[in-house]
Amino acid sequence: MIACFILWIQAKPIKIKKSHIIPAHVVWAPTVKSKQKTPEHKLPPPDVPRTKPEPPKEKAVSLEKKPLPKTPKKEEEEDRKKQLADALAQIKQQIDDRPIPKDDNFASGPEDKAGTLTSEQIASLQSSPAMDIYKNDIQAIIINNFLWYQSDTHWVTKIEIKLASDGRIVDANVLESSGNISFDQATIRAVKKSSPFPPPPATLIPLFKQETIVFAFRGSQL
Amino acid sequence: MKWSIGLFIIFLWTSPQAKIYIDIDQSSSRAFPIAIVTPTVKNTQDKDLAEVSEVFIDTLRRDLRVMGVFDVISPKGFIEPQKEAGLLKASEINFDHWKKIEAQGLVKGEIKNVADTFVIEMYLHDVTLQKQLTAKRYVGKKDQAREMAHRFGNAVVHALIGEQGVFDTQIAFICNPKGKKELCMMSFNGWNYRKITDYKNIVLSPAWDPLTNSIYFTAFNKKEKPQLYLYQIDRKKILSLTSLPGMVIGLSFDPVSKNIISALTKDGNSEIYLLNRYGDAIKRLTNHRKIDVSASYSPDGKEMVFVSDRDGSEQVYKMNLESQKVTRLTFKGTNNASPAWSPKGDKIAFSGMDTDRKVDIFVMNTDGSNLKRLTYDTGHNEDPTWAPDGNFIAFTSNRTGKSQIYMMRPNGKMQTQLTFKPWDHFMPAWERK
Repeated sequence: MIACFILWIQAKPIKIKKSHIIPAHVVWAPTVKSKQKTPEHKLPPPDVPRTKPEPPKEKAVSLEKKPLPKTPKKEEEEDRKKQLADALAQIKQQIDDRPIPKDDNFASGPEDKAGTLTSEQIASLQSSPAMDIYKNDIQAIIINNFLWYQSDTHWVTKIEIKLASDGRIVDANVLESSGNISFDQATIRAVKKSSPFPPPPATLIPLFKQETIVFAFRGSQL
Repeated sequence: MKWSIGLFIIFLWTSPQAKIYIDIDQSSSRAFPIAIVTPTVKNTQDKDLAEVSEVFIDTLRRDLRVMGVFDVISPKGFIEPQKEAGLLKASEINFDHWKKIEAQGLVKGEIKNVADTFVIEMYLHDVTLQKQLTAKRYVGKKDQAREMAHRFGNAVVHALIGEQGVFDTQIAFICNPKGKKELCMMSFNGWNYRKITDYKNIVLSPAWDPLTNSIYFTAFNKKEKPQLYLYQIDRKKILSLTSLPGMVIGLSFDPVSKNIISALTKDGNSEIYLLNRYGDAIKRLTNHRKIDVSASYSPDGKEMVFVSDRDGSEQVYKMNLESQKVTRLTFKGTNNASPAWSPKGDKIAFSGMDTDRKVDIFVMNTDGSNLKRLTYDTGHNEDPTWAPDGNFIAFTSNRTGKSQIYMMRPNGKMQTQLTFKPWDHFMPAWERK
């Protein structure tokens, strides 16, 4: 208890940045629709796409919890565009600067000497714009390969993968089964079909070397 | 309390979630690409074998294509060498031939005969995972080839989609071939379209009795009086039941109580009555000076949903049959009609008219919440009926001119046309299991 109190005192001056709790992209989330009032005697529009929808590349990704819907404002959109442009420029720079890996696996790559990341470094990389963009990219690829047709079921399957620096999956396992073989197989198929992913940006390579990616497939919201 | 919140924040701060989580809460809108290879024939000299093989595979391809969920790849695109056609096991197949044509599912099989009995052995493989998903063997006569294909189709659906499949089900409906409404039936995939009645008069409101595999319907008899009939499918026999006090709009059969609910114009205006299975009225369920029509049972038989204009325009209501408490479910649109309770018991589909003056199909929860439109800008879409597994809704639409029967997923996706006759179709009623 005393140790906790000391920790509490130590922790108190630290101001937790908003981006540490809520991913920065939440504000950007372009897929969040504003709720329009439906006039009386006017039935709601269909949720049926009348044309083939584009792969939802812009779909917001939550790290731990599903963020509350928030309507993007004009200023935020401007900010978002600027941040995206900056991030893209940054990533482009990173791609140009990125060393060509000598081996396709992290284990023997040049980054191996860098050592273990601290929790602060992990948190910082987790909330970086580069991570946000990279996650959105691979999320869109997985969704495009995820062929599942039931809409009213509540299956959850978690697939854990280890990524190589060239984007290949070097290890994969089912972290949590839904209990439905067909759903589990559809998720494994989607992940396998999506490999290799685009190579991660150089700044994220130490993180991917150390940590795994978990895809949480949810059947209830399809 | 403040302490515990503080400690929780410290815990979160000092133990960041290191794994990188990505939520996948959407799926692709693409159909599932599947290659279906004609079963190899053991005795190539036997014409019957080749014929059964063709009938089987045509039926299977059509079933999966009509379902809307599958993209059945044209055999013209297959690149597997002929010498490998007989390789059926996952360990023998070179899946690269199928990956190259973007197939994710692969069906192969073989057929042989013993006297006049045919044995069909079929395999479903996962091309991506390079493994066998299911294998089935069917033994039957030549005229059972379609039935065997339906059953294997259901097995494919179950293995890949996790649903039971509806390929062996039938749909009853009203057809209008010569300007007269008759009772017609067809298989799920639109095949075996046949006229059941030839009354040359008005036939309406087909309703399935799954207990006896029969269909109730109403028609004007020879004396031009409305009459309740029962068509026994297995015996191909039509029984004339009781005469009715007025023409019926909407019949529904409850397998639990073995009763029928129906709107009758018995006492002036249309009210809903409970009838026994012979058509005799047992009880009046609604009592209102306005019209009550289109009654449909909940799957447990404890409630019914119906349409009434008691509050001005035609809206959907439900009634608890024990307490007879009525709850209004819809508050929007006009001309709401034909409510149908899903077999899973969680949804009600109905047709309604929006401000565009077109009738469309909608679906909502059984308390009226979560109202969603399923059809849009495709003429008039009416008379929804649920597949026995609740994974499809059949309906009529005049989007191509004449009113034809279509089916779709319960979210409105994968709409497929089932009938193509040059006349109108009404009131489809999907077989109940």
